[in-house]
Amino acid sequence: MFKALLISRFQAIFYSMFLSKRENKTSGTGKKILIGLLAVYVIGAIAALMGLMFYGLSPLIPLEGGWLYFALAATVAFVLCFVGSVFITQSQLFEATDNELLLSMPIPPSMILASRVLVLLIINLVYELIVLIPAMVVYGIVAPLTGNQILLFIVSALIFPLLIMAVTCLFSYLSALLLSRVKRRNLIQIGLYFLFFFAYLYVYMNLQNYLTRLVENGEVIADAYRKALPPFYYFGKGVSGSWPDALWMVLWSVVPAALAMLLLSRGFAAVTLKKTGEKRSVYKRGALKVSSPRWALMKREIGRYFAIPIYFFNCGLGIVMKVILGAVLLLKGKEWLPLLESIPFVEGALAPLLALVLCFCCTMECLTAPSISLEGKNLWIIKSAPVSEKTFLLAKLDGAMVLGIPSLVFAWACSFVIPMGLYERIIALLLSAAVLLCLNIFGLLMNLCFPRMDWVSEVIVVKQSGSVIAAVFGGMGLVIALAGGYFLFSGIPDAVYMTGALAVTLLLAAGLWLLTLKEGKKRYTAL
Amino acid sequence: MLQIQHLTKQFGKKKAVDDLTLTIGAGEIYGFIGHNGAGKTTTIKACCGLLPFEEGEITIDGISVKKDPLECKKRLSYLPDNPDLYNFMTGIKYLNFVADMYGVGKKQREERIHQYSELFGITGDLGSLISAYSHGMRQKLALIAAFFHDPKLILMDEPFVGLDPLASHTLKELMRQHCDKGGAIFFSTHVLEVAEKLCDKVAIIKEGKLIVSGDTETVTGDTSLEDVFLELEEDHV
Repeated sequence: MFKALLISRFQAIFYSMFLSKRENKTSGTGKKILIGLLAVYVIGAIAALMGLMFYGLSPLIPLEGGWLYFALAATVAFVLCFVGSVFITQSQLFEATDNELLLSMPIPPSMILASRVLVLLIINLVYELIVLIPAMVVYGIVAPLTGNQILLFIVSALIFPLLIMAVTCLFSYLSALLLSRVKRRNLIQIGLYFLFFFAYLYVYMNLQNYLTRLVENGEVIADAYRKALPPFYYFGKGVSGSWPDALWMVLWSVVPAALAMLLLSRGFAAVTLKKTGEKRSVYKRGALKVSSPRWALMKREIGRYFAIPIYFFNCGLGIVMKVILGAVLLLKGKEWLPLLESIPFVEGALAPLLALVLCFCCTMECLTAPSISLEGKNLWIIKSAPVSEKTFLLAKLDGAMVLGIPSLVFAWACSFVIPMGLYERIIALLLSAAVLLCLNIFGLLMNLCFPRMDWVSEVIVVKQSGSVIAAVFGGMGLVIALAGGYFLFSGIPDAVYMTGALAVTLLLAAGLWLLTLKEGKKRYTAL
Repeated sequence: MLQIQHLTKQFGKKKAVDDLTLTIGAGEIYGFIGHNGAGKTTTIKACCGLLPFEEGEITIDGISVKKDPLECKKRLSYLPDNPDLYNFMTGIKYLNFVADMYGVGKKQREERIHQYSELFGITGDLGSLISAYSHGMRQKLALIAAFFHDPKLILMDEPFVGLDPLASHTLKELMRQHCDKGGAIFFSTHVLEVAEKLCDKVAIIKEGKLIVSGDTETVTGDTSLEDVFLELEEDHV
């Protein structure tokens, strides 16, 4: 039974990545290679960053026999795994649409839970190794590495994800329990997502300070680990060569994991089947607003955006970033101006810098990339209505622009505290709006090319679909090309370059739109 | 009203519908009967432009579904076998959204939504999110959405599933009223007693091919529709 459950989980993952629903056959080699290359790129980039960070921590290696260094590595792995898997844990454990079906079958809830937890454990192991392998490589470069240490490293790396999984699952369980009892769960979820993100951003921005402080205060930190963080302490001691300490680490990982599984298996059915506190209000007849199909579709897009917290967080981050940027400009703009102007290539180039920052914010805001996939099983409503493909696609674009433009204008208006030419200022706004438009058309096209209509959780569409990944890289590529062009054509005045960049971006947007319309009809009909 | 001529729809190598020809006239309730996987849903989806098809032609009021799907969709409404609606909308917002899609006027939509929701007994629930609705309530909401904009042709896939007896009775009355006003209804069902009593005409399909079609009385003769269906199924084994 457990084997069947496990196979079904892996089949679901494989299906979501490689199987084409309509043709009922696996997708082509090209797509597999593309997914593989993307995975290698992302993993390689994170591993390289980790390697650099651990190199910064390498002065700690001679300290305390090296255990502190490994304890810190375990801490970083723990944080990355937690942030990386906490939302997926919640969606896989408590929000999966097949929970009710499985719970209605004669399968113990603990077994359903175990099959899902094992998949999460593998995800955590992958995340953990992305951190720990570079840490081990840096250690090997700086200090001599024994066979005993390598063996202990392998054992510890395989066991430690149990602890991470236990904490992640418990956190997800508690938040699912909380969310199943509250009425405004969307707002709370959105709040939690942003809290996590900004905490992560804060730590990341101050990482260098923390690294310096860690290196300077090694003894104090080692003492703190010894007293307050035993799993990490024993991990460090174990990997640095001590088998008894490695055994303690095993205990610190296995026991919490067993306790977490026991608790979760008891509460799994209750949390999963509990009806959410959705408000049932009595309807009073009132006047109804009449809208055109396009306007109604756009309102629907905006409604969906605010109804799915992970969609709001993952694809609308740029909106929040622009509001924060505006606030920072208002509060600190004047204060930071001399500092900005002291940077060699920024001096006298404030308008291009403003455009670049605004454009960068816009790249984190591709609402259209998962929007067709999010139609899912509801697509029949639009496909059976007298609405053209063009109106359907335009409304998606309208929604993205209506949500993106106000925050863009706000951030831009706040930039008036910084002096720059009016023409350049206006072009900076137009250029970032054009990037937003271009990116959202690209997102739409990508989603038409890589739709995922048979999802069991919106998280799969928003976080893992090919169209979202393509849109993120596409947006970054566009901004990098615009910034690169600026340096390439450094001889021409800023205003001229920015006008040219605007024209090129608009041309690109027009070209992409024509391609979207041409491909759209064919692909929309095939959905 | 609806003409299906030599319709063939393939999924890979399998023919889901094979050379199907049917004509549904104005004022007719047409029942479409067949075992699971016979091709009923595929036919209905092809009629409302949800599924492209390889061969044949489907016209609504003489307009080709292939060539001018939008004009066809203006004249029809569709109810799927499983009413997956927008969970993030309230019932009233969903109905208003559908009204916007079909360009229903303000006064007309307000009156009709009220009228139909009263008929199905869900007026009080229209302010709640659809995610809080039961299956039956969703089905009722989808039925209201199918009827209230007064389409000429209504295509329904298993419309009685999930309805309570009162709602089933209301639906049957609505179907009759709609056709008495000159509209047409083409629907699939497994409830043969309902089809026999309600339908002016029936068609039985097996493995994508039409086995029999015509006036309900002619098809059933002296026996029941159930007997005819079972007999035909056995004959074609």
